[in-house]
Amino acid sequence: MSRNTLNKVALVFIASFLLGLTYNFISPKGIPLIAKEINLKTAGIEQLISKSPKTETIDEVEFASIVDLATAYGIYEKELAVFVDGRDNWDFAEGRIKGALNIPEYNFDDHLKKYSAMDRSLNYVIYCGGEDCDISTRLAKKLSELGFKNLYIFPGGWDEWTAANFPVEHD
Amino acid sequence: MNGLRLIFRWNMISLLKNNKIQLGSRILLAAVFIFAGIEKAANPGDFSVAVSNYRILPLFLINITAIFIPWLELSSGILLLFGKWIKANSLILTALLIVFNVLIIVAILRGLDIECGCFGTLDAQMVGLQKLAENFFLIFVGLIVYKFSPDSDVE
Repeated sequence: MSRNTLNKVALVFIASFLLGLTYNFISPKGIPLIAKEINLKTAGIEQLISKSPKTETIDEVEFASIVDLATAYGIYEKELAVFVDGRDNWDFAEGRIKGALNIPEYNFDDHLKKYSAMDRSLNYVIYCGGEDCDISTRLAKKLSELGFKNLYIFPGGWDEWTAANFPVEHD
Repeated sequence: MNGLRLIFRWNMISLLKNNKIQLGSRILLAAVFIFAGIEKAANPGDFSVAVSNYRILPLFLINITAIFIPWLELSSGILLLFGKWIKANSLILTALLIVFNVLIIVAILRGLDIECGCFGTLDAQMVGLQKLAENFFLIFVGLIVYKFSPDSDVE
């Protein structure tokens, strides 16, 4: 490895870094240089029962609330929300929370019209595979950008739901 | 025996130095990274999510990495495609592949069930052995280019 090669490596590094920064600065899809921590608050079931519509502006950091397994099951039993499965239709067909609606996150943008037409007054509990998948967070963000306000993310998702033997269905 | 081995070795080296093999390897490596780089560079937000999923970098480094790496892949890939600074650029891309594979191995060992984010959101390929094997193949290709390319770097 010659010194010459290393110098060129350094040059390519610096040029790429500057290109990236410049593009990020001018692109409408640019992101802040330092990420904001997403700190979603945990919601209890009473928040859904009280049906007090959220009036405060939903900023980037708080586009949804988190629900744990017990709360999710409570919501399911009392039918307080529509469950939304963010995984693709194959996973959805193989097994889902009973009565869940499938909104595959990966091709969300192709069906904007359909999703925009959904009832905004309802609560939506969004889930995906489990703790490791971030599909539900991304989906909640996309729905909030469409103007949906009563969004709840169930991070435990399919894994926790099935581990607890709660009702499921499949095609 | 030693003579035979020498002849074999010499044959292998001349094969790897063969212009067509060099060109093919270079184009393959460059094309993969240009393709991967464009998609990720265009959507830094999506890529930053993919980066954070690996749960390795601290929060303040995630976006910078997501902004920088795609452009490194892209510029290095383009330079390599046009045969500019072949040794330097094949070194960069091979090193990137090695780093990626280390990250993938760590993710597998930690049992993370995540998308690799390798080609942005174009493919929903999960982190796993297949990705690892693909990268090992590309590392091999990268080493052929690095090691046996005519030394265009000496000017």
